[in-house]
Amino acid sequence: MIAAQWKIIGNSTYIKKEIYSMSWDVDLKQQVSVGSPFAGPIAVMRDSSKFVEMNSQNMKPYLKIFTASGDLISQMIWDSSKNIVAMDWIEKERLVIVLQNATVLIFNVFCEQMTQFSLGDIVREEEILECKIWSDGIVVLTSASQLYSVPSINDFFVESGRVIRLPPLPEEPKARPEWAILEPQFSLSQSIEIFMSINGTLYLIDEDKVESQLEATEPIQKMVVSPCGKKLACFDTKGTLLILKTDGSTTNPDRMDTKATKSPVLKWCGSDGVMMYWDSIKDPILFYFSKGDSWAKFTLDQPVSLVTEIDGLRIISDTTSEFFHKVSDVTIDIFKIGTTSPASILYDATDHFISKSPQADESIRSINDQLEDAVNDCILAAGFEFNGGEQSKLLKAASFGKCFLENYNPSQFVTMCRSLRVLNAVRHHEIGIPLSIKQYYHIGIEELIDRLISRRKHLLAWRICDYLKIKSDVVLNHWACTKVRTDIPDQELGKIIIKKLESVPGISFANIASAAYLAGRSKLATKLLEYEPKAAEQVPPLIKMGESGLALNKAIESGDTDLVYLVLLAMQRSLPLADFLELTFSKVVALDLLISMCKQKNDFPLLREIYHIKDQSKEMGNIYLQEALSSHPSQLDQRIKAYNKSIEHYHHSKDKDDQATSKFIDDQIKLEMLQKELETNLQDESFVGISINDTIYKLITMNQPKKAQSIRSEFKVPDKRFWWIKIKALSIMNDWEELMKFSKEKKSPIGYEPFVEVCLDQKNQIEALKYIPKITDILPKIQFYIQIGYFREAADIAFKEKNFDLLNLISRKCTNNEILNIIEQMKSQIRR
Amino acid sequence: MFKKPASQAPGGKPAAQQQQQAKQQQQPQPLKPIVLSQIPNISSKVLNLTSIRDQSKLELGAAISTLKGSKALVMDPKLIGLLNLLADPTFLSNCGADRRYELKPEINTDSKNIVYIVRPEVKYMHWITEHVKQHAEKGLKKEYSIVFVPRATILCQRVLEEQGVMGNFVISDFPLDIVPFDEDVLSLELASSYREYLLDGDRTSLFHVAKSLMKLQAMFGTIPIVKGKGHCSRLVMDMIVRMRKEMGEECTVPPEIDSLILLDRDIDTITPMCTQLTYEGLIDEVFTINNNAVFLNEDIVVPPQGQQGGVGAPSQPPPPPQSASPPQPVKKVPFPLHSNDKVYSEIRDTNFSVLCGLLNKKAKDIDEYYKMFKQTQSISAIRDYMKKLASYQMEHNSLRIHTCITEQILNVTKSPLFMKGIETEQNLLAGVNLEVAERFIEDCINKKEPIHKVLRLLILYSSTHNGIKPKQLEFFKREVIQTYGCSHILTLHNLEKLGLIRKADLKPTFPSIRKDLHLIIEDLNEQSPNDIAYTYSGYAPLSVRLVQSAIKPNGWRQIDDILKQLPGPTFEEIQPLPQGATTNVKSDRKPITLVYFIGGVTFSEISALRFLSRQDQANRDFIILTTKLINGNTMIDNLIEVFN
Repeated sequence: MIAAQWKIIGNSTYIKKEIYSMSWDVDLKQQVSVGSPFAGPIAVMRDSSKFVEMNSQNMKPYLKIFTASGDLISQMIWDSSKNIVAMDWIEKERLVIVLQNATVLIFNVFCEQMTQFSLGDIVREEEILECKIWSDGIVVLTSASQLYSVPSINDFFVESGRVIRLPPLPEEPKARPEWAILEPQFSLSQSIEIFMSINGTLYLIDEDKVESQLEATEPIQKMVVSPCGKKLACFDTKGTLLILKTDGSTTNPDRMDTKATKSPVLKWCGSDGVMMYWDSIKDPILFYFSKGDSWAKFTLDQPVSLVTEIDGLRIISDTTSEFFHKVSDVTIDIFKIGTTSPASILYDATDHFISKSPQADESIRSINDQLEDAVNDCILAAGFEFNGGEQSKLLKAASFGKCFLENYNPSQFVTMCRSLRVLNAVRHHEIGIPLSIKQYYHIGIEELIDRLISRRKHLLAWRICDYLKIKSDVVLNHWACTKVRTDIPDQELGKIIIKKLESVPGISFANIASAAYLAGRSKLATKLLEYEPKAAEQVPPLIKMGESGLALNKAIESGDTDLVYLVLLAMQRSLPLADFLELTFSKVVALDLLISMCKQKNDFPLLREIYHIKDQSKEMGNIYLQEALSSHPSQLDQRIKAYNKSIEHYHHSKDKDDQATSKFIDDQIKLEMLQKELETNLQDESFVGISINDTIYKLITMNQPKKAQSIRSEFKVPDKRFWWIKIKALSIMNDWEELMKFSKEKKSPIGYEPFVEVCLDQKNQIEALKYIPKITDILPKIQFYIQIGYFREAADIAFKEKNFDLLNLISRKCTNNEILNIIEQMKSQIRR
Repeated sequence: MFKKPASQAPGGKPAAQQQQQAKQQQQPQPLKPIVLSQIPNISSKVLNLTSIRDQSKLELGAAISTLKGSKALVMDPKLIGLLNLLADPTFLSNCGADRRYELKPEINTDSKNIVYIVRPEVKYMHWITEHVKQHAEKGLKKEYSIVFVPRATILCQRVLEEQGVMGNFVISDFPLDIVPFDEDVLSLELASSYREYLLDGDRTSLFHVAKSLMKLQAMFGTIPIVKGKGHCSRLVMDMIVRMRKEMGEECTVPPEIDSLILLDRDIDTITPMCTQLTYEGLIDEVFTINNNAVFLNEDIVVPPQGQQGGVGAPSQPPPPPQSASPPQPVKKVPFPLHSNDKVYSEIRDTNFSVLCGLLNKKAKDIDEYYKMFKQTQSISAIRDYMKKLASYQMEHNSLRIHTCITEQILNVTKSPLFMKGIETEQNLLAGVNLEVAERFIEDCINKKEPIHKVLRLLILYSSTHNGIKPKQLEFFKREVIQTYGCSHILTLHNLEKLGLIRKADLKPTFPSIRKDLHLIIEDLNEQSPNDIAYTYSGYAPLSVRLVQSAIKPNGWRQIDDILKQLPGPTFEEIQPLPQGATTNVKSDRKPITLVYFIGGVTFSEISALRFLSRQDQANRDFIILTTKLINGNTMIDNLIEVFN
């Protein structure tokens, strides 16, 4: 019976049940072993502090890593010159070993070193006295009585790790101090905190300060924080165990006097109680203490290793692995001798039903209104069972019970069935991960999958993902990355991987290809990259592998010009110029972007090289023209040199238009030389760089009409344009006399409307009036008169032309009644 | 000959020519916060676009917070206005951006932390490098962050590495791609998108276009039907297909947009060269609209003290003084233009010729409301009056400002030169009086009118006549180079390379396009228009005519021959919906079509689409998305080569 294994300790019921018969060949008398929580692996190493009989088998010390079931995962020979001061597990099944020389090594479960870092020269010089490792960090106490902390080991994996010096100890310890770590997730300061007993005072140390928490205590020899972070177990020199609160609010601590003269190993069992272990050669003893007067003593026949879990304690010996934990209430309800709980009745009823006893029906009726609770309790109890048979019985009871319930929500049942199926799979001896249901819910399925992957149990991981309908691409990805490090030939392996992965949506082949490349399989890597759907993931590995042509093709296909630039820049660095250009020229898109890049970076030498190869005379001419125009006007020689280069290339072009362009530039050279001359003669340095029109305009405004005329003749400025330039210049100068003279010089090729316009632009109506009569077209003539308010004159013209519509137009604009009357008379006369 | 806008009738006393676009006043540093909000309320009507802006705002906050504490925010000049559409100064201050500067070759700030927010341009990298080195020389210890919009490029990072300053920066991306400008208008505001692909062969902008569509589809569902015209549209569609494949898994949002029409600017280079004649379009032509705002004299925007009561809009502007003193430097402030302004939303899309009448009517309505107070007797009536008072006062102030804007636009549109310009455009479109048009262009050059104006007319001439006669073209080139300078050899090369200006070598295709698509409407009624041609007073924008055809039952098959004459491929594709996404069966809403202009869209084209959605036969709403809100001048700006 299940209840027969129970042990009543105080008011609570506990069970110490065997999970595995260990298949290992470890002798814990001579070995140091550390187990990882959450049913994690066990690392075993020879204990150099113990006396070891010298024989051939022990000449070479090994580091061995086992599953929780004792299956060997890996081993390596340990260099005995490396003195270990601490060894323990951190998150994600990574083993941390701290050496005496302040070096930290980190291994995976395959004894493969993942990384290493140093705690610093100071720590090494001060010498490590003691070192403790927690789930993501390290704390070191040196011989100089100074504490140092590594806040995050993970940070060293991304090259941002740090070593922090904690505040100095408040008093010089007379004896070696005992201390314990409170992890950041539990501390008030959200960073590491240290409980330390120094000369009878209990201190709390964080990154900034030291506080006294408890004074005038007996010296503490051992202390350890509970998994929930709220309790601190202390064992003092008088052999008394105390349970304090980590927030410092302890008033009346639970205590127990063991009267032991030697300090034990202290390990929490969940957060309920503390197990003390005296490692006596003759009579090893486990002594369990919980709150109040609850305690129990266990006599052992061999040494053990203890691993604290969030809900209990794993007890590992040479031959067995046991799990000691409190029995859940629902289990007690069902299996306690003499129990009459609804769940136990349901459990029995199921037996009756299976054996076709009519008592089943009677039993169900008797708990009719409590049936749903009974069903739920059976489901929960099943979760707490490790035994598959008992799980099955309990689930059958639940299933039987829910048949009698209407509207019962089966999701809890379905969830439990799934969870147990997963747990049973990983609890199997060959896998060796004996997670309890609580531990499973605590870490979540993702972390369990990650652990299976990191142990290279890809098939099981994939099956679990498939069974639970969660995404399996991370499993397949890791599987493939592992596969490329095997000896299977490239072609065969490529087929295996592609066949497996090509139908998985969103999976990244780039990661696998990179792993293949690092394993020296370039061809396989290239082939795998063909299947990477994301170009942004595809191109960088191709660049790294030296597959420039392929990378360029993929980048272009992606439509992402930044990828193309990435490839071009990489090629430019790694390839000889000729090869680089040859490859780029074969892709129009890439060439266009290379040209664009050269322009953005003002890389004119390369740009000229490109145009030269392409024999693009026009573009070459454009570059030199830009160069000329970008030079400062004062550097005329430089400009002319560039202009001449430009002409040379435009001339070389087959396009007839470019011949005309070269003529324009020829004129420009002539213009700038003349402008330079003008600057010298007229002491004005603002001619070079302006247009022909502007030059003429400027000369007129400087009272240099002859020079203006000279420019006009030199560049064959048409009369119309010259006229406009001149009248604008004269009007801006308010040189009305000269303007009048110019208007009479000869018949204006632009008529006289422009003269009126420029006068009005200068707000000079008087001058404008001189030219309006000269306008030959009636409509603009009238419009100008209206514009300056001369309605009578406008009307006279319209009347003379006998234009009724124009008279109407004028009258709409005019507000003068007298003139309006005159206009009306004019209209009457026309009408008559 | 089709009808001219009535507002262009001769008369009055025109002020000085204001055709030249008003230049945006240079921002002082640090930038003063803008008082009026340019950020439109976009949560109602057709599609809820608020989530787009909210997401961008979140990303902006994260980008600015790459450096902790108080900091100086140094912004790309082209991004300042855009950021104003996203977040107000309070938001920036809450992110610690206490001081805000425009990015320049020199920097002068006491802040220890500097966050640059820039487009990825090489020249900016050089400026920023210079800042870092100057600070180092002075022994100043500063922290730097560069936020790239929409993302960092390899080229910029490489330049920083080569300058040896890469280690000084925290680099991050701020994917500000789609910016809502109004309830139905979104833009990427990529200034050089037109030039980038067609002239430089650089597809970066197209990649961002594709990304923006992927983002929209993630938010509003996969768009089932896609039609496109043009090389860029084809490339974008190909990119989207690839991006969907790369994504692996797609969201299953039910589609809210039922069709997408992709249009290259290149298929219709005529429309942007024409002068826009809607109110909003003319504001853009005369003042230039930037990021939902127009810069006006301060005395226009700030309400005058003590002015209350009804004020009618004057039907004629007061005459300018006979002898004006030289103008003092006038302070300009931004005035927001979007549909939250009730007055503006009523008048923005109307033809300018009918605007004065509308403003007059509006003024009378407001005056009537104020008078109503005198007749109000009962307490409840007074309460009702007071409820509406604030709203009427806002409308009143807005009306005053729009009246001032209208007056200034009238000064331009009444001028003989403007009228002659419009006439020339319309003659070119109609294919008549070519010699008169040529003479007008020559006159513009002779008078040294702004080069943008000249180039617009040359492009319009070339586009409508399949090129310019060789001798005439050579003449124009010579005139332009002699008048505006030698650098415009390169400008003209750009235009020729793009095909905007070319030698006449083929029989013109535009006449048949014009005829078959009914681009010229002779008997147009601007007051109650029945055709989109009202937006250009007789010319129907070709691009919007294509949209009109696309939404008909037989779609583009009816105009297949016409489409063949426009550049680039035509395509129509069905995008398979992701598994699980079912078509939205909400029948209470009109179908939505997203019209994407790749390379830019004008305000009058937007007005035409709004007009279309109000017509019964269309039976759908349009959302407009574009790479840039443009007009002819800003489009040409990117093609003009300038040397300092």
